[in-house]
Amino acid sequence: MGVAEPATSLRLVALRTYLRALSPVPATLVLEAECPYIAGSSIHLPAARPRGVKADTETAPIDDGWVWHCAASAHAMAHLAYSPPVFDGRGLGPLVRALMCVLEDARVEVLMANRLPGLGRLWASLHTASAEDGADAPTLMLRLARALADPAYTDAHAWVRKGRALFFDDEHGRVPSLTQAADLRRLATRLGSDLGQMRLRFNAPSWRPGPDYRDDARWMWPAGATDDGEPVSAPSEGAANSTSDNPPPPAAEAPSTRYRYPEWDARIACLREDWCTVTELTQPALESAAFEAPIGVDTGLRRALQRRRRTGPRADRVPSHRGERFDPQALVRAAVAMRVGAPIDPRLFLEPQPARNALKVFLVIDQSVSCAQPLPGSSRSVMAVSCDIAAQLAQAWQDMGVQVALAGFSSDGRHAISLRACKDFDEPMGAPVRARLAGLRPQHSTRLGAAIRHASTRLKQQRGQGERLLVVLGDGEPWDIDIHDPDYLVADARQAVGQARSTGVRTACVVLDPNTIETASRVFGWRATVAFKGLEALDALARRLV
Amino acid sequence: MSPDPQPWRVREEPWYEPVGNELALFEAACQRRLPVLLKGPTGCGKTRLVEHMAWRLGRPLITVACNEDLGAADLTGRWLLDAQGTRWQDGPLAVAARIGALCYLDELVEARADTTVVIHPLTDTRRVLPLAACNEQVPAHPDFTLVVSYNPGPASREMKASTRQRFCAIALDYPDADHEARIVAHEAGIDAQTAQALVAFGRRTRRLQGQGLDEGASTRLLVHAGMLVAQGLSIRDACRMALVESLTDEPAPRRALEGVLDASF
Repeated sequence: MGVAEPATSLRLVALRTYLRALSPVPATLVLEAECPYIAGSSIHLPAARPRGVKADTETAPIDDGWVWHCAASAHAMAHLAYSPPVFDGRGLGPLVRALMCVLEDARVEVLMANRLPGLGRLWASLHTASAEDGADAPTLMLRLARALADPAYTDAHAWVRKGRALFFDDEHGRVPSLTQAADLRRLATRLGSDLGQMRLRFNAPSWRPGPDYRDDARWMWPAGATDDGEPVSAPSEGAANSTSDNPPPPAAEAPSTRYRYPEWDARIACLREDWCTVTELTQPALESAAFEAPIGVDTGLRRALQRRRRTGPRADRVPSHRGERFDPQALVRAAVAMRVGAPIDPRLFLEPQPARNALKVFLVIDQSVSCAQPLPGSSRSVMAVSCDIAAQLAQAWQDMGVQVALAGFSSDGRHAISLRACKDFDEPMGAPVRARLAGLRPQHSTRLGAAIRHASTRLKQQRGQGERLLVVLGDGEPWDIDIHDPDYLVADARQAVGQARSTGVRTACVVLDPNTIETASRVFGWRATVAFKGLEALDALARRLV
Repeated sequence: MSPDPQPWRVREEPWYEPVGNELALFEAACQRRLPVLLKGPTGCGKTRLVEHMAWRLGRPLITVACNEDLGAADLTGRWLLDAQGTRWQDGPLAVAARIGALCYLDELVEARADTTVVIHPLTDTRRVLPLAACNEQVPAHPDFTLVVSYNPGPASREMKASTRQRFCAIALDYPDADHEARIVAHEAGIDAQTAQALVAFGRRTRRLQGQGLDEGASTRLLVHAGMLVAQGLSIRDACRMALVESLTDEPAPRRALEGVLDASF
């Protein structure tokens, strides 16, 4: 599949919102499939309407596929809401099973359309089969499907009329007569035998339910219960997993810039100038359309950060036309002006102004191989959880006007330290940033000191007054392949933290694995080191950070 | 020198359809002079309930809409300068305490933190309003009751425990579908069937709270939509105007709501 473009992820978010509003039945949606299908409670649709189908001239020509997507997702949702989990196909021939698909599709659509009449009209508009298309078995089934979906359509063929008359209890076409699976079997068997008597051939392996917005009904027949044992179309389950631990590698990296930084050698208590080389690259996005884009930000986190912003330190009181106290000097001036007959300045009061501190945060994510380990008590890797935390915090801070930059870092010796930028300070948080975060791979080691120096330099370079905060996400344990003394890089990182603090950049570390918290606190200090206790406790974490 | 309560009297009965026993709860708290906290989503009838109770109990009603800039001085009063010199002007809370009115602070949690300095002494057994700027302690009238509203939604601030524990709280929510349809039909002047269709659409939008929308459609918005239908707009145009465009500007939720609108009518 192609790169996750903003349009696709926007469509995905819009469709998910649409489905959630239509029905309370929980369902996930993935826009990466050859044709629509349902797997469990997961709906899979193609990213665009498949080509090569006869276009219906009545549908809106300016539609960019949204209407078709609505119809397909709503149809799948109707199955999730009204269909049993599976059908028993033993002893049934392929023609009868196909007819059961058609009848079940029609049944759930009728039930859904009774609640949401607009959907009924939408589905009806997508049926285009008519007598002109012929009278072979698949076409008759399409004509039957249309007769069941569209009350305004009348078909001259006796078999289609019979199917419609038997399907509905009432003449208006609102109440299906089939309420149980056994009813479905009976009607399908009856209609199937009629087709058999007409000597019409039916090629089961090439048949798909139509029109194209309907799913391929693979969910109806569990594997092993069908006579030919062949699923209707080959599933691509691997593509359904979002950001799993084995995704395809990202494309070649973009051009980079190099910076030199000193390093602290504790043995000689001296800074070695130009000792390390940090290369800043732009992280490419992960190539996968099956990317989980969360819709809402954690509300507790947002609330905690809002509280911190609003109760910031109070600045001096400024003259204002309203406030609690008179400004004595302004009062005297006003009294004099009144005596003299001059105009009075209405700003007689003193009003407190809340301080505006424009916080800028640089969130740096440890990408070393130790982060490929699963988090204790979870199946996800430290890397994946770090990216989740980073994305959530960045979104919440952005909502409050805090500028955030995100980058991953790793090192392979002192001249190969890489900082992979996923988000710049003035870039808005969105799907491209999340795609870049998802592309970060665990590799190499953690030369923490150099990363801290580079990130704090970047922070100081940002324009404007206000606080600067550098947060390191990971296990906080510095290590590299060309250093044998385990305390060397720890001391270097400590020095870098102290240097940053002296230039006005606060540092903090979020440690995901509680076993490594001691090393991290040696570098950052106990107060600035926070253990991650789960995404639910993210608001408490955010409060400690800011 | 007590101010005249006439401007704040509720003249006609505000129509209110009870959802549960909230009228009895409210009255019991008022009779015992206990402050009341109304919790509920926006547009679910909190203000209408307060108006109805003020009319029912025969007390004047003073309403203050709280916002981020509202401080203690906006509630208690301030000194003003006129030709004769400085004079004290009572704020809404001071007026209410003097004349024995129901004082309704809408979304108190949005106001500045210094409002607790005046709220706390009024809401415990002291029942006194301190006016620090004129060195006066105003004892609250026996009929004075403080009512505060609070929307515990995802986008709102939290109320501190020391404040909320002074109040008796009534939790309100959107009524069930039949109730809500009756309210919409009455307030908007439309037939029951249209009201039910509007309410069904509104309830669908409420599923999106926190996931695409900050809040779903309130009862108030549904009444607006009903009024537009009564005025002659098609139901789709009315819903688009009152329920889709007023809920969100973001492209993805807007498109989704348009889709749900097409699906519903």
